[in-house]
Amino acid sequence: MGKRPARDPSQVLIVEGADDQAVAESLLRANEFEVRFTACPKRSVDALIKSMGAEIKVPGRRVVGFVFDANSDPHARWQEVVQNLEGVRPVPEIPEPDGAIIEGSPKVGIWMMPDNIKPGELEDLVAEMVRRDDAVWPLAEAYLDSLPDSEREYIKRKPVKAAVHVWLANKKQPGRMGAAIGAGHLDVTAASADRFASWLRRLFDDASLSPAGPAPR
Amino acid sequence: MSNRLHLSDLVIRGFRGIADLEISRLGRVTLLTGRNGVGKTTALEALETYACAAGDDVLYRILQARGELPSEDEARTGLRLPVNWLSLFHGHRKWLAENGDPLNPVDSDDAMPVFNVGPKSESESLTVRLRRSSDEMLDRLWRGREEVTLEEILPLSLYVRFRGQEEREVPTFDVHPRWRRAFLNRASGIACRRIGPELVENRDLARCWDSVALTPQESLVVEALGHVVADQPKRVAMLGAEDREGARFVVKLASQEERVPLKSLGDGANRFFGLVLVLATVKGGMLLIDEVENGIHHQVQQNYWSLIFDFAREHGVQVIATTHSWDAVKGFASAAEGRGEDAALIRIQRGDHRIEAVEYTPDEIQIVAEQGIEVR
Repeated sequence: MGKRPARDPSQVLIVEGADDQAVAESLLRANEFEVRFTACPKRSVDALIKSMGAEIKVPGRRVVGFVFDANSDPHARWQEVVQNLEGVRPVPEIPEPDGAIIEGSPKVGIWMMPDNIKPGELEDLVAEMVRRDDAVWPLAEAYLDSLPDSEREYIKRKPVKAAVHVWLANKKQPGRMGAAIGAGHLDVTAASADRFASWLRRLFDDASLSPAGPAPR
Repeated sequence: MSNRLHLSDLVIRGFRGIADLEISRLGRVTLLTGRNGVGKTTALEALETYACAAGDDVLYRILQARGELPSEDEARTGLRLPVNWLSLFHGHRKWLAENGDPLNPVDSDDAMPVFNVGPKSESESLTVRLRRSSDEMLDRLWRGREEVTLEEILPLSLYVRFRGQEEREVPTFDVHPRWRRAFLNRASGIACRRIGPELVENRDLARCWDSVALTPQESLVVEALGHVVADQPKRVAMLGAEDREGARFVVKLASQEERVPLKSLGDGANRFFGLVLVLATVKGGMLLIDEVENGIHHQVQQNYWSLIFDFAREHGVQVIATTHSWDAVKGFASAAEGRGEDAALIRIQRGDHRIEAVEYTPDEIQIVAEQGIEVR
């Protein structure tokens, strides 16, 4: 792997956790872009949403992007965002399917996982990238189905999240979504992933996303 | 006592380095952050100028602190003195260049320098214009001053309007206070003290002590000193001297028989003592603190700020402080928790064309401290 370019502290992607960061970065690399923005993982979605105003106000920032999960109620989540950014930035009343970008200084971007519309989280975006002919995916689902009720511990309304992690357990670097994208196990042209990557490219300017050589394998 | 803030918002226009700055909300206690040289100290100078309604002594001190007053020798010859008063106005160099001869100031008011400080509501604001002196003023100054020629002075006056009061004319020439006494601008402003980054001077401490001695404030000050001294102070006393400069403070600590000089307790304790003592004497007024973190150890920052918040609310004081320090921001935020709109945190920064204020809500102040988000 070549030497990574220096990170640009004036362009920041605020994420819930390391997985979100890894997925964003590997999607861009798979699209042959170098990543120069600095990622800033928060402890939780609540901490992230509450911090939005203050993060936008950090001195010296040119671009600030936010990536967080819609979870069960996308409408309620979006309202939290609107409330937290009141008086800071005008936020569209409903989320934009292609991801919100609010021009200004700094430029602000908002992406609600998985696709700004549906309830869900990062894993739903990743599940959509699993190829139709993937041999392991049905086995992962079958494994979860086979669990007796007394042994089932994953959250029932999040079966996709559970399936993604079972599927990831079988990879060389188990449990790592970014690595699975980097290794080519996932389809980066899947609709939501493609829109997410486009949003990242529109958000971060050329200085931070210069087209690079082929993605390192 | 009215608990209304003297300034709940702020506009500074044309004052020294600040062309135009608007702050939509000040708190009872406001912390200003921002890089060096961005205008934090200038903002405090503007606030002090407002509070004293552009009183002579304050303007004089501002110029003196910035090294913009003439030396005694220059003052005696009367050379170029008025330029120093001009430096109160933003863009005065450009004005001088464009208007060439300040001896013949243009008649149009629009072209003359002006600054505003105060709330957005103009009737509550301070406006200071520089204009040609009135004939009455010149007559008055000429009496008994035949040795001075018009060329040695500039016939310019400051025209001061404060909170809708009648406009007052203050001559700008003969800056030296010896000559000015008869024309002092004795404005009715707001009680205000500004503390610089250094230790409060002895004679100021002595003056403050006079007003708190044997009042309830005295015990508050002594108690407050306990926040920064390991050994709880029991009493503080000022020992006299021939002049106030020579006055010194001694402290009786709980564990020692002998009284100890306050100075022996270190710069931190001395700075803290000075701040609290001054705070205790500006009842119902304003306190401005430049580089509030100086000498205050990070471990006592929260106590220190709690004390400021309590004092400010109890005594109707509005406090505006500047800092570079993250510890000060953190201490301020911890102390601000649950105090709502009493707290305001504002960063002053250079925008594309002007300096601008970035304002934090009470909620954001908490988040910033919790998550360690940069605000400076």
